[in-house]
This record gives sequence, C-alpha cells and structure tokens, in this order.
Amino acid sequence: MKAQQLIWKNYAWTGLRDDLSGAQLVILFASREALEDRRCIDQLRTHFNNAEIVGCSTGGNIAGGDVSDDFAAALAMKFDRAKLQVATEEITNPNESFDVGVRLALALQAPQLRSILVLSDGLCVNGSRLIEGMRSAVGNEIVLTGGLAGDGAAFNKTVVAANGIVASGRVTAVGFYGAEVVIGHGCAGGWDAFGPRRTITASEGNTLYSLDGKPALDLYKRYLGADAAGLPGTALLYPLTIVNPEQPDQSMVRTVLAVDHERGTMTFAGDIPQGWSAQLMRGHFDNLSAGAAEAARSASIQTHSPQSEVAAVLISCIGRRLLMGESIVDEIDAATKELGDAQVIGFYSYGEISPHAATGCCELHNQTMTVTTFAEAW
Amino acid sequence: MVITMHRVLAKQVERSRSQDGTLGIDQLFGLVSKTYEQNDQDRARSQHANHLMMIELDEINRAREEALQILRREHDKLDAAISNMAHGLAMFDADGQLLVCNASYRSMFLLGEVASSSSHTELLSAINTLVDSSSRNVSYERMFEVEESGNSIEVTLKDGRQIAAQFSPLSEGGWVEVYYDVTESRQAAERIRYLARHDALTGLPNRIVFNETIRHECERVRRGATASILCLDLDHFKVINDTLGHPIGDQLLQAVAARLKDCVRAIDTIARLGGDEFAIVQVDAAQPDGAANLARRIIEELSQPYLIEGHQLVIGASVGISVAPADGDDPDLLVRNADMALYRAKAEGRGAFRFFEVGMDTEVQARRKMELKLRQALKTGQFELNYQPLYDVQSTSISSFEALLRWNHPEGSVPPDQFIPLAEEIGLISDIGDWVIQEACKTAQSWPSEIGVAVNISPVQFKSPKLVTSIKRALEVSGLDPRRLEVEITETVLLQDTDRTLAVLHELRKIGVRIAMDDFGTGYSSLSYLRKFPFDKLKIDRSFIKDIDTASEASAIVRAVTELASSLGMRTTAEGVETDEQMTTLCALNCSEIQGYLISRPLPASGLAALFTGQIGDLNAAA
Repeated sequence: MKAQQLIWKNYAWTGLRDDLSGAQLVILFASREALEDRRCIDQLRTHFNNAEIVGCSTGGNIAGGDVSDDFAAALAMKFDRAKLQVATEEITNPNESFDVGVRLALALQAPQLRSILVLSDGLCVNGSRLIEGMRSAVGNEIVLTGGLAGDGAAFNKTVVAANGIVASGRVTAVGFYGAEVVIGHGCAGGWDAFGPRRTITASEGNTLYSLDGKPALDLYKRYLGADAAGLPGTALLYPLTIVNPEQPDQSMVRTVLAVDHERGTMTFAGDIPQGWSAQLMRGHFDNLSAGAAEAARSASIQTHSPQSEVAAVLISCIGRRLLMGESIVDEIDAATKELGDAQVIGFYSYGEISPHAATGCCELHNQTMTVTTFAEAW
Repeated sequence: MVITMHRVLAKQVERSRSQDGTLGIDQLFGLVSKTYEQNDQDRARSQHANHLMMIELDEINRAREEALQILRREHDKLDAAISNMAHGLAMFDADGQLLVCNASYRSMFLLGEVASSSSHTELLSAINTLVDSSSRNVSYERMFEVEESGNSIEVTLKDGRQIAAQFSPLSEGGWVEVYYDVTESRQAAERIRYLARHDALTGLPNRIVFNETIRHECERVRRGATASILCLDLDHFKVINDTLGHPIGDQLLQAVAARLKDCVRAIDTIARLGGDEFAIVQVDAAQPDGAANLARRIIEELSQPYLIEGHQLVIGASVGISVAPADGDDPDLLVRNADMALYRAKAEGRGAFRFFEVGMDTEVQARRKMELKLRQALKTGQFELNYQPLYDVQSTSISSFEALLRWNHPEGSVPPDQFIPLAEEIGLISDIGDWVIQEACKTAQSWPSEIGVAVNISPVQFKSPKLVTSIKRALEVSGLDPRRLEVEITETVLLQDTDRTLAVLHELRKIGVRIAMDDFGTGYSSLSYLRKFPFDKLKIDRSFIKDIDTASEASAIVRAVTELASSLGMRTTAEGVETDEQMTTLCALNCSEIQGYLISRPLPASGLAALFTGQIGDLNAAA
C-alpha cells in the first residue's frame, strides 16, 4: 500500500505524487465552506480519476502536524491487493439512525470485509444508534471507525461528500476487503471526572432532562458561567462520563450536540440512559495530550508491515480543541510522534467511532482522540 | 546561545513565516497573545469550576451529615427498641461472628458483658452450660445448621426457666436468633391443662381423665390384661350438705378423696365424676378378688368417722363393680355395668358393694319400661284423683278433702310409692303435680263453698321455680277461692334451701292458700321448723294414731302435739283414724280434725255426693 497526505492551501493541493495517481481512495477533511466551494474536490478528481473521494466537514483539519480551519487535508491511498467499496445513505431524522446503519452495513456486507470507515452527518444522526445498527448487521468482528462531521464550533450545518455530492443528511461508509488489510485502532480520552457523581433521573434516548432531579441544563449553565453564552458549543468543555451501575467498570463519555433553553434539555451525541450515573469531566492539557498519544500508540502497534506504507486518520473531538485552543498542537504532536513514518491526516469531529478500549465493542465516543491506521501485509 | 522554544511557540513561529521564510512578527505576536489569553481563560474556568465544585461538595457533605444524623436517630431508635425488648436477640454474620445482641439476651443467659468479637460457637457453649441436658435434643444442636426460616426449639435451663428460641436466616448470610422466656406461659398452659383434667375440689382426676384411662385400659384388656371399674357414691351425702351446709360437705368430700387415695396403688386411677360420685380404675390385679378386696377396704375406710369443724360425721359408701373382660371390653359398657351394680348396691341397703350381674341389666330395662309407661300415663289420662274427707270435730262436719293420686294402668293400678319416686327421678313430677293441682281445684270448685281441698306437694316439685305460678294459674282457671286450697308439705321440703322454701310458702300464704305440715312426728320433727313458718295445720302421722289406745307414749306425743299446736294457733289433723275408740281419744286430746277409714276411704270425685248430704250424722252420734 502507498499513502500520501495532501494539503489544500491557497486553492491548490500540495504533496501530490505521480505514483499515487492510481489511488483507489481519497479521504478529504475540510471546512464546510471549502467543501461547498467544491474546488478542492474537483482538483482531487482531476488527479485521482479512479479514486472514490469521500469526506466531511469538520471542526478543524489535521495535517502536517498542525491544526487549522484554513487548510483542508486529504489522504490518498493506493492498495496493492485490498479491495474497497463505498456506500452512502441519506438520513433526515435521528430516529432513522439504527435503520440507516443497518442499510449501510448490509450494502457493504461481503466475504473478506475487514473494516468500515464511517463519515456521517454530525447533527441529524444519533451516532450510538447508527453504530448499533451497523454492528447488528455485520457483527462484532468487523472494525468500525470514523466520525461525525463538524461545523467548527457553530453546530449549524454539517456536510458529507461522496460520489461527487456534498450534502447534509448523509452517511457514507467505506468497506475494506481482503485478508491483506491491516487495520489498527486506538481510542482514548484523557479527561478527568470531577465533582459529585450524579444520577440520570430523566432522559429519553440521547436527550437529557435532569440529573439528581434538577434540570441538567441549569447545571451546565452554572459551571460554564460566562461561557454559557456559547452554548451548545461551550458545553464541550464539560463532557459527561456515564456509567451503568450494573457494569461500573465500563464508563462512556458523552458530549453535547444541542440544547433547548425553553425545555431545559440537552441533546448528546449518544444515548444517556436513565438510571445510570453521570459525572462532569474536564480536561487538563497534558492529560488530553497523553490520551491522544495512548490512542495513537495503540493503533500504531497493530499495523507494522514491511510490505506497506502506513496511513493514519486521527479523529478527535471538537471539545478538545475548544478547550486547548492554541495548545491543541500538543495533542497532535503527541499522537504523531507515536505514528512514526505514517501519513497522517485527521479532523475535529462531533463524535468519534471506534472500538471501546476496554470492551472492544464498536461504539460512538465523545471527547476522545481516535486513531485508525491502515496498512497491507501478506 | 540556543533557545529551546516551547512546542506551541515553535508551531506558531512556523505558521508565522511567509513562503520566503521571513517571520511575520505581528502575526506571531497575535498567536502568542492568543495563547496567553486562552491559558488565562482556562485558568479562570478551572477556578470557577473548582469554586462550584466546592459549593456542591459542601452541599453534599451537608446532605450527608443530615442523612447520617437521620440514620443515627434511626439507629438510636432501633437500638432502643432492641435494647428494651423483653426477648433476647442476637445477630450473627455469615462467619458466625456476633454482630449485635441485646441486654435481654445477655441477662437471659447470664453472659455479663459480651465481647463484640464473640463467635457463635463460644456463645453457644456458654449457653450450653446453663441448659438442662435432659431437655436438649438433636433439634437443638441442629437448629443453627439448618438454614430454614422459623426454626424454633425449646429448652429448659437448669434453673427451671424454659426458653424458646427462633432462628431466622438473613438475606445477606448470617442469621438472627430470638429467645423468649416462656416459663410463665408454659406454666400457665400446664396449669390450664391440669385444671381441665382435675377436679378443683379434691384435686382428683376428673371424668376426662377417667374416660381416657378406661379407653387405654380397654386396649390393654383386648391384649390380654384385666381391669376393674369401681363406681362409688356416699350414702345420704345430700343430707350432710343440706343440714350442715356446703362448706362442710366439701371438706367431707376432700377427706373422702384423701382416704380413697390411701386405699389404691399408684397405678390405679381415682376420679371424681361429680357430686359424691367417685370412680376407680384398678389395673393389674387378680380379678374379681382384687376388686372385691379394694371395695371392702374402701367401704371400711370411708365409713370411719370424720371430724370436720367440730362435727363428727359418719357416712357410708356403696360400690358397684364391673370387671373387664368378663363384663365387657368396651369403655361405655363397663361404666354402665359398674353403675348398674352401684344402683343395686344402693337399692339393697347401701354400705355394700356389688359386682355387675347379667340380671341387673334386665331390672334396669324394666325400670326404663316403667318410665315410658309413666310418661304415657299423663298423656293418656290414666291418672285419677281420689278424695278422702277430713272431719271437723268441732263443727261435726266435713271441712275438706285431701286429694290423693291414683294411677289406673290398664294392667292394674300402680301404688303411688312405686311411681312417685320414679317420677321425681326422671323429672316428670312437676308435670304430674301441675295436673293434680289443676284437677283438684277444678273438682273442689264444684263442691259446697265451705269445703276445702288439700293437695300434697313433693319436695322435688318445691324445687321448681314454676310452683307458685302453677298454683295461681290453677286457682285462676278453676275460679276456686284460694282460701279453700290447702298445700301439704313434708319436713323434707324445709330441709332444702330453706330461705327459698320459706319465700315460696309466704307467697302462697299471701294469696290465701293455707299450709299444712304433713306426717308430723316422723323424721327430724325439729320444732325449729314450727318457729320458721306459722303453719296452719299439723297433720299427726298415722303411726302415732295406730297405737294411741295401747301405748301411753303415743298418746303422750299426740297430746303434746295438739297442745303445742293449740298454743301456736295451729289446727291439728289426726291421720289414719280407723276406730271409734281412736276418735274418742283424739277428741279428748283436742285434736281438730279426723281423717281415716273411720270417716271414709278415699273416693273418686263422682262418689262424694253422698258425703255432702249429711250421711255422716252417724258419726256425730258416735262422737
């Protein structure tokens, strides 16, 4: 396998290599505006006329060891033996998430399927249900990674690009086939729970009503103080770790997608089951960076191959960037160091998809750094 | 000099370079300044979050304090409840270590201060030293091994206390033992059981025990054993009760019970069946000699004088015996046979014992037949009243008639002394008596108005609360002037429940009925009776009249009676007068009235007409 990171700056791609012109897949991360402008896509199409070009809008693009909304990042991958296939589904209501997941998975289901990379609309999808749907169709052995598209810190509109179409309300998935496909994955948060443990006293799906019998939004507003004006984006500063009391060692992190000031409710990127316990989290720069390094290390050690270059896709949560600001380069730096010579791009997302570090079960994560590495070996 | 740049700054410097490599100072400063601002912001957020967290934790701590206080109060309440409960309580964990025990538990088992780390084994062995080993059984040892709720056992301690223990497993392992001191309730239950099975007066077993014993012995008899049943009662015990009062009677019964106990062996059973009835079950003795010897001994022992509250009392006993299996092996049959034998013993003069014999059964059957006939007689009008006149010496005319009951049975007439006692015994006397009064009043109403009628009232009738009502009703229905009715009673009536008897007599007197004392001179003839009630008349018993002309004592007694009566304002009637000589003497002794064959035999009502028409003029002449 050959792979190359490409950077879109000043309306031109840099890093294009002739030996990759036959690439089968190009993954593209860009701001919504850049995607909707389409020039970046058109230029890729010109160069990679055989490739499937898939991508999504982001909350920041990662390439060249830096993070920026100004440039776009792309990764061209040319497989020697592996096959791939792309499937795309539309979604108009989060309630359809499970079914959309099932349809996508069934479209990609085939012998030799090893892994699926999912890029989804970031706002009108229940990510947990989407992944559940996919998992229910392909089983737990297939590695599902990917993320929910972003829209900076605005949470207004996200888009997904596939088959030359750039639009909201879409989910695209790339299936990787063949015994030679080597996929590595890692997922880590690095957030620290703080303050009292609360009980989720009222919730419905991914909507949270109350903690310890009090409106959850009030709690967030109190903790955010002046930052409350920036809701829902600023709610990412305080993700929620939730735990099923019956499996206390398997915690999950949930992040806010939207708030309803009138009803006092908050919508999260994944389910918030009633009766579970919840605790606010906050990030320390060093711990978040250490988490990113851990995720990258975990993915990297799974994809050592003498026959192949390695490509890595970093998908990190917008909340981390929001918190760390300029210092966000620290986590990119920490992750990149663990990935050695790999070609690395990535984006800041509204939700990350990866196997759970403890259970191995593919799930939607929030506030994490997830790393997927690709290689071929035989 | 080499400056090591911070990663972020290095990145910012890189970003600030233009394509030709020159550094954009303004851009760099902008980035650096932004970094500072972001770090300031992050610090401010941390402080804000820390502050809120502190407040929240304070609230939580306060809530926890309150919860703890509530828990502490709950604990104190629970502790007070456990400490003050009368039952002993001990709770153990799954490893058998003591979790909690209360004061009652410690004091119940004299444990003093129990170390909180005590194990169940240690405590149990301490308790075991107190337990009366004879009361300990397998269930006690195993109680704590069987993990079933509600296991309960009872042990007796060496000091006599009875402790019930209940074992209940806890859901999280471990268990609770609750101990109850049941000494008092067990003693009460034992006492209740004793009282239910024993006669309160003598302490002897009662009929329940007696029946159980017989049933048990009948089982043994069927397997080849022998046994005898002795039924006994005291001769004329009633008289003691009536004359000396119940307290004396009760003491006598106690003394009798004590003597009976001395007569039998421990394996025999004596029971008091009620009143002066006792019964003995004799076992494992050679029969019939064993029973005969015992009966003889009992009669002899019981006949020895008793000294009770200064009264020396002598009383006999009669005994009836049935022997199993000869007289049957069925409890009811054996008792019935012993009763029949007793009946015979009494009938034959008391103070003796009789074995059951087959013929006795026949006698009882005959008596039962008689009973049926008697009941039939009242319904079918076989009774008839005959009337015997009383001749007034002064007025030389018939003053009244005594009504005398006759039973004209189709197979021949039955004398009153045969059926009256039976009627009294079977409770028919009240009905017969009522009939007699009604009939007598009705008949007398048809006589000349100066002539009265006298009716005999049996002592048994006197016990009936209906007597006065019955007499009033007869007078009302017949329309007879109450002053024409005379009631004759014997002194036996006055022996029983004197206060009530006197009340009845006074009530009858109040409505005008006259009262006569019948058969005066026989029995006790206590003059105190005459003081208790002002009788209208004394009827001198025929036994004195019979000898009045030959024995001077008889004439002296009659004179004394007539003089006594005269001085008390009572009239006198001489009964059984058969000769002119007797009449002459009686007239000389100032006897008021003459009754007997000399005047007339008792006659049916239809035969009285002649007497009303002066046919007794001859008598006047004779007088």
